[in-house]
Amino acid sequence: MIVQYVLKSFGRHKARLAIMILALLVVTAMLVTLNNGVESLQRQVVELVERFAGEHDVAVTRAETSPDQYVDVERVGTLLLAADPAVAAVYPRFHAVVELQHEAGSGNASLVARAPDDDLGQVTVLEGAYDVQGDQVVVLRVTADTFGIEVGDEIDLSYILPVSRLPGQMPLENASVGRVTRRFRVSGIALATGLGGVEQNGILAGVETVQDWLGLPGRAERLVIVLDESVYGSVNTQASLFRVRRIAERLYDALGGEAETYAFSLAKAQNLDMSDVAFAVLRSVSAVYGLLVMGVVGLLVYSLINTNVDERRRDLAFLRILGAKQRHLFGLVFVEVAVIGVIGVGLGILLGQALSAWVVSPIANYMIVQLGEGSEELGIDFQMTVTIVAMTRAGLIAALILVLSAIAPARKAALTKVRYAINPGSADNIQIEDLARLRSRKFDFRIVIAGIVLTVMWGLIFVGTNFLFVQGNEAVISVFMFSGLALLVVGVSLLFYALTVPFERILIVISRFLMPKLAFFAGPNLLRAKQRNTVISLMVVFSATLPTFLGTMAALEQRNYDVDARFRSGAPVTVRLSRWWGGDDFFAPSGDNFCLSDLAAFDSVAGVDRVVGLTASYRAQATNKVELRQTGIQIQGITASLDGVVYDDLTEYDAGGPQAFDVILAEPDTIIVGAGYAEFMDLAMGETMRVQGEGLDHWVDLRVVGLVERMAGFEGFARNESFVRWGESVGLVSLDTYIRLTTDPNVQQVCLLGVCSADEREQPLITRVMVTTVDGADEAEIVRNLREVFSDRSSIWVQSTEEDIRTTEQSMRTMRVLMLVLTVLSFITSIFGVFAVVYVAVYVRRLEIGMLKAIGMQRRELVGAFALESVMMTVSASLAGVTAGTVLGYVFYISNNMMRDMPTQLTFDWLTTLAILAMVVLASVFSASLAARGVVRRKVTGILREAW
Amino acid sequence: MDCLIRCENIHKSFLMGKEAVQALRGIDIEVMRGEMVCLMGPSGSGKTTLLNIIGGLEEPSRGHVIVDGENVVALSEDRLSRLRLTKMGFIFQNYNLLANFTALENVEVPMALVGVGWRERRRRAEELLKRIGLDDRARHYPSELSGGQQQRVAIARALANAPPILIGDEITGELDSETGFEIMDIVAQLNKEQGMTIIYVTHDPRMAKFGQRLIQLRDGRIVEDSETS
Repeated sequence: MIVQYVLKSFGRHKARLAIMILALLVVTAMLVTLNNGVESLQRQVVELVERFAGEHDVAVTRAETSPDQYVDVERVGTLLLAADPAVAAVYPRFHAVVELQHEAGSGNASLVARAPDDDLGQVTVLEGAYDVQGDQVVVLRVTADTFGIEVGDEIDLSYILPVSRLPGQMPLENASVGRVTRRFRVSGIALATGLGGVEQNGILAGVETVQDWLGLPGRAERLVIVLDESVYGSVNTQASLFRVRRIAERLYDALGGEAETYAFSLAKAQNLDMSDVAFAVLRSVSAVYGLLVMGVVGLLVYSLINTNVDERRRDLAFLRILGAKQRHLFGLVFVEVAVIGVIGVGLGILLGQALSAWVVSPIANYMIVQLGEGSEELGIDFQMTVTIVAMTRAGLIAALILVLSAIAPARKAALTKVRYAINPGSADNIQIEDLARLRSRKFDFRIVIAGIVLTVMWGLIFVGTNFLFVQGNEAVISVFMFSGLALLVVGVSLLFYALTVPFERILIVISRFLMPKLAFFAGPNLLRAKQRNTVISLMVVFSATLPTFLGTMAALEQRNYDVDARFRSGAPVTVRLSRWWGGDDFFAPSGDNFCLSDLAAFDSVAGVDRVVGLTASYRAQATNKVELRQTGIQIQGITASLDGVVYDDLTEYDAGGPQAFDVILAEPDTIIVGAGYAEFMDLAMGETMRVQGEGLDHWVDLRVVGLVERMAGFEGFARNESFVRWGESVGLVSLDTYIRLTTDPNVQQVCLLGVCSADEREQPLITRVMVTTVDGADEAEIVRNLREVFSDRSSIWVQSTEEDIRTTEQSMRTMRVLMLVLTVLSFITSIFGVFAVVYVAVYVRRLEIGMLKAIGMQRRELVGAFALESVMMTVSASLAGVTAGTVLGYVFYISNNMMRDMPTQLTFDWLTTLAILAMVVLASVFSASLAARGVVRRKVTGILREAW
Repeated sequence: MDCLIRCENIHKSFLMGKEAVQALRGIDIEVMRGEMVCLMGPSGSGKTTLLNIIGGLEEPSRGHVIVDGENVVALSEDRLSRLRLTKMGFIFQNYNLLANFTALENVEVPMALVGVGWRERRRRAEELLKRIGLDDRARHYPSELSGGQQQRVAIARALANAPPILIGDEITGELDSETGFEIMDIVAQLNKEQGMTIIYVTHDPRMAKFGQRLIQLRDGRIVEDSETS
């Protein structure tokens, strides 16, 4: 009977029903598409990983220290095959970099030699045939293009036989290497993926051919092992990866005593491990975003169902008179919401799946094609997969939000008094049925909820964070972090919600000048219809805050990027040595580093003005004579004055000025430190600090000759006490002082008079070089020339600040467009909300419309008054949301810059703000006009009769 | 006295489901300027329909309504709105005040619609509220007023643009007898002191006595048109 009643009531509120279903449909479809996108992207990444790392699961090669660098295929292969039932196949291979000589040119290429039954990877023959029998090879297209090779050509390949090294020793630099050269005929030109080891520049050969070529019958450079597909059967990627590891350990054990002479590579599992973490984060972000947008729809459903309940109070009261219990009325509302949910979410899932399959895939592939060069070699073809996970996740979020939004209206329905059926006007006064409730003292559920929220919040802060970080589950941590961000956005929105009132008043005053007649009607309704306006304003404020926050961050980054980039690099051109990705490395003399004489190479490049070398940081402990306070300092040596080399406008001296550089270069045992560091150590200009150098009892007294507040290229000068406490603060000394500090006097006495000899200075210590250019010189040309000068050294990275700024500006612009897309997506749900609430607002004010029409208000005036009211309401809420998002963005950005003692140039994100305002104005005018038009067109008597 | 309202052969039929119901069957009335006319009759007799047609809220199926020389039936929607705004004041049984507007703002509504400036509007609204004895309630919302007070605000609103005609539909229907009499006293005073033409509908014979002329309707026809005693 409940279902029957619900279905009948739907017939009475078709428009509201349509709005709710449409909102659920659109948002669910968006979420399903988003989830499908994430899932499909992960699958795509897994395929890409396979293409680059190879489709095999484990590769077994010989360790560098093994005297024998090759594997016995028959014996070891049999052992590995029998080691674990999950091993599906073992194939012998040769992977190596070979020298290629062809009449048109010579160079290096990757060689992969496979057995005839090794069917891993995909090879697409473009010309000729795939024939690797005898002395025939197949050349990849890039190699063929680079060397001008055609099918039928002959090429010479030289294989450099690997040399093992002794344990604990580096390979001998001048050891003679064996080289075997043979002539091959090219049988075909092809594209290849999934082989592992062969990239775009490669040659494919047969294992037997290479064995014969190298004179190694029955042997291979490696064995690649394929595991049974069921190993990856688990939904949990981590579990699958650990299973692979256990199998690999069993393979290791199977090799017995000689296992240590083999090296194991699980490249595919390693890459999958990394991508799994990244996608866990992405999935959690999409879940939080889903909750936020669905939350707005929840507000909409709450608002409309609440209105339905209000209008049906009389019916509900009659049902109570007829014997319906409170739980029946509660259930009535829940069934209504459930039916709406099933229809809206169900259709949304279908639409989302359809969008994923037929709209997103072609667009993504079109965009990949636009990427142009290389995409063909990568073999990228993005296919959105329709996944159960995507549907389930969207469905669960929708169900949770719908249940939450139905509780309050359902309670209201359940608590309907029978008096509503007799005299609605007096029903809200205290009735006999209220007496029992008034007599019994019950818990106020809201107080309990507030208590739970506070406890959970502090529990999460003090216990949850520790627990999460100990567990190290990135997915849960990212859910935690992004939920925190979402709650922050909601909290700030609520805080700034109060601003809607002053904004409304300002808009009313403005509209009184522009449209006095319409403003007279819109104003009081705007300020006084609290409940209705609160729902709509909250929806708009929430929807505006997040995009404005992100947009402001992006705008600030775009505005400050040149300052950021200049501050980071320090000088117009910087040359760094990087032994691994990211970060400066610390003191460790290395053959890769520059020596002082290497800096002459910079001067050979036309346009280079000044060149200053900086050593790697030497982490030293510093104190005073009585060792009251001791903290670390990172000392860097400089080869010349940085005055005029580092950007002047981003450099600020507290004492000593730029002349301090000349002092440290001229006088031994002097240092420039950060003003914050000096303050922490209670050091003044001219005072001495004791710094511990390399070796036992090696203390050097350094006199402070300069205090720096901020210096471009050195984040460590920041006046940030945690930097200082943790020993991140920088101290600048001359190269000579640096050499003295970093040389153990117990081993070697250097720079005895405080000044080093030319030989002593000629050490590989310099890891960064700052370069300025002469006025009017082409910086791009200089950078190109420098790159060419150092092209034989792969560890050198030449960076132009201008180039950096240009590249990042481009990516910033892309980021702003992405922000705009996010704004539009966020507001699509909000627009539904605006439409729904305005529609209901107009509907419930039919009596007012009828009366105003009766006394002579014209149709267009009525529509205009409602539209103006709606516009003022949503624009003021948008302005509150924009203010909240902007303030949040400023606080985040400025506090981050304060940590680094960086100046911030403020800017306002007009793009997002104008987009938001345009969308809310359009949505308001459209929804108010559409809703009001339907009523005002009718006859006065009809409207009044229905409203009464 | 000149004729302010003339109804000629007014017919009105409604569709109730699939059946046509004849609400009015050939009504002819002339209302003179300054007259106070009461329409009475049992439920379904057509008195509210007739009042609505005179007020331009409904169109007759047949016939003409001439108000102050203008044929209401031939007017466009906009001109009809203008006529109601300037020449008629409406008082409803349920008061129909705007809930979010104070008593003062409710009285200002018709003036705002004809474009009276803010200061003048406020001055006149305060004056009207004072005249009906509600100046101390000017800043109160309808929900803070009693039924009688709300109806008095509705009367002040109806007088806002000083229309020559006042139309009232069961204006005491929701009020107790004492308040009802108070309201009718105010209406009658307007007729006597300002010469306002008043047409009102009531069920209550005691309220009918406030009018100078009583028109009785039954089944859509006038069955009696007489002066009240």
